[in-house]
Amino acid sequence: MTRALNQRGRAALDLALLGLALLALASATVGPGGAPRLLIVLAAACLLPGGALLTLLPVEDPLLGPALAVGLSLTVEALGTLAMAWSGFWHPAGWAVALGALACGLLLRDLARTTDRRTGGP
Amino acid sequence: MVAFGALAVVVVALWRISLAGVNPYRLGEYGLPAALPMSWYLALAVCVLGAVLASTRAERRPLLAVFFIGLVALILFGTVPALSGQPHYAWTYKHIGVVRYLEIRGHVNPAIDIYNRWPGFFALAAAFSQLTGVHDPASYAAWADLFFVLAAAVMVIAAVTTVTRDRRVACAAALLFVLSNWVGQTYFSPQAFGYVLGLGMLVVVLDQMRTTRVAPWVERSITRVVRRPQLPPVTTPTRWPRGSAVGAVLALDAVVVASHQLTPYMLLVGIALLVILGAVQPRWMLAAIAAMTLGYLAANFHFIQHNYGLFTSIDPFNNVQGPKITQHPSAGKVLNTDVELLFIALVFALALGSVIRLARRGLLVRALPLAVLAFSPAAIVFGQNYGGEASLRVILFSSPWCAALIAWALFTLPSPRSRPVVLGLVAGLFAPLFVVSYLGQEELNIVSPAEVHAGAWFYSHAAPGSVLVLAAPGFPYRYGADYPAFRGPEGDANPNLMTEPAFQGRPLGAAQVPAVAARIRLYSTHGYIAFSRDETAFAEVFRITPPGALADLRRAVASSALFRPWYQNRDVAIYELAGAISSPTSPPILPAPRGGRRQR
Repeated sequence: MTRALNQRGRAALDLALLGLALLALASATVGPGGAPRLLIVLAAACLLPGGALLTLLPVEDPLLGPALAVGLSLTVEALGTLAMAWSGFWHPAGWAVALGALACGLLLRDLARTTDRRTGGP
Repeated sequence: MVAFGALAVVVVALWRISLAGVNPYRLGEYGLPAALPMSWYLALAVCVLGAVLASTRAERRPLLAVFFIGLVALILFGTVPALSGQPHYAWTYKHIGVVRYLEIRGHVNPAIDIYNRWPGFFALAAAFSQLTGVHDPASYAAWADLFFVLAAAVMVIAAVTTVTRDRRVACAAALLFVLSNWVGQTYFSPQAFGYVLGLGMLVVVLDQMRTTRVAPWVERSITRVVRRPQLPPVTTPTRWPRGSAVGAVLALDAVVVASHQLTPYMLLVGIALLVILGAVQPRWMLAAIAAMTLGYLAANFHFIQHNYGLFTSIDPFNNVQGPKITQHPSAGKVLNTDVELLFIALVFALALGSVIRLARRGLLVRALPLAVLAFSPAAIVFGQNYGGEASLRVILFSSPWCAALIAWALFTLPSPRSRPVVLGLVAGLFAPLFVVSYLGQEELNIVSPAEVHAGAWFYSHAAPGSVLVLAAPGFPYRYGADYPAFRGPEGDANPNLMTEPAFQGRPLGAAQVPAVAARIRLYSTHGYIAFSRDETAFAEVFRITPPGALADLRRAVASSALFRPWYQNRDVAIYELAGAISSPTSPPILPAPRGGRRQR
């Protein structure tokens, strides 16, 4: 028995992650510092890249989603920061923007696909 | 849902209010549990009860169980940061120093230390600091325990869900995991990061790579021993493309390999056993994991062999021994140790009993991955004592799977009504043992703002090339981006006087001052000796020195011509070796510490 998210749930998740990406971008550039900025960036760092990658992979139970999203997010980010720390090409902001853009692209693509299915499906 | 939200607000308010009268910097030898009011325990009890009840109903409403488990974690792992505001454990600050170094320099230097050779966690934390604009991780690292435990609990829920296909078991396992994770390894550290990613890697392995049948000889052996037919594993119907699954596992492992020294071996042993038993495939993935793990070690072999040693002993009884701090600990520390041993015995006995129960119910083949992962970490004690922490690491890596086995066995009880009762009894037993084991040493672990300030001052004003010698462990050392400019022994600890017999078990004073100077000169021609509140607590609680001995030594150092005062605040006094090159800026001499002797 699969408990995978239905189309509506999946679209809502995509929108939530896109909202989180915008919030993180806003807080990192124009927003106030302190705890709110820290928590928003932390949430985005933990969920965004991995959540976007999971749009490409089936997940049977929604209880697995957060774990996979956190694991994949931290992995992708750490691979980039490791490469920067080893090479000395240290540009965390650039890496964050690149990852964020890629994640948003995947989420928008998934959103378009799920919306198409909802409106045009049998 | 509104009722539960209201209950949460009340419980969190009760918890926060209960902390109002607690002074975390004046704890006795029984640590924080003795200082916490009844309202704190009441808030914890309500949350544990809520988590127990919600877990048994998690099939339909798993988020409610997750919510209560989060509250339990908040109370247990959020109390210290809510009280003190800065990271506990003096050794956390050396990790912060590495993060600050990386943030400023932007590259690692493997010649500095082991952290620059395994920089995964530090590089990510440095990038995070830069993106958030918080340049001193101490401001957020205090909450790292809670963050890592919550992340690990999320991983446990996923891993157990995929093996058992039962959300109730998964949530109950996460609750028992939170309540049994007392070893204090989830602070701001590479091992906590590696631990969470290691669990994430196992989630992918268990979800995507489990086989529908274990090796025939395994099934035959189990059936023959327990004389019951065994149910086959249940695997996910939603498989990822093989390349994606293996790629995810190897990427996770790559980060773990470059982040922590021990975690990759724990994962390698567990996954190797799963592959050998036929529970996981493909076999070549194991070869790739082994190649990465051993290849990274080979690249750092000389450093490890020179500074630490690759193997300690093949004697497991020797390797499970912790560091022998003292022969005569105080009553509070004896209680801590006894409770910890009881807790360890209880968890492993329950896990073993659960394996037997599951076998008799025909579920052992299905639960085989959990059993293997619960007991395989013990392999480490056949080669390493890991600086006296091998037993702690075994517990850390076993605890999620022991919790899962116990939870699963509980849900095989025939009467559904008895399940919440028994789960409540187990959780009710774990909770007080956890509180004593985890919070019972906080009088040694909590670092005061004055001590943090002294650490920051030292690393921004002390003369480069000098050494900081501690009177005893407990000072936030290497807490600065310029920490590599200071000298000390190889390895990752600052020298302290308590390792020398000349300073142990006797009154201290003017007679020992030349030995202090000699200890400094062992590493550098100029250096400093630091006395702090936490150092005194360490020496006295473990009865390494008689009460007041370190205060006497401090006074003797202060009046000696060999030293001159260099820094002082309420909790810390630092003296500079006379004749050394003085630091360029005038340090503050703040009011002297109150009272030479403190009664604990």
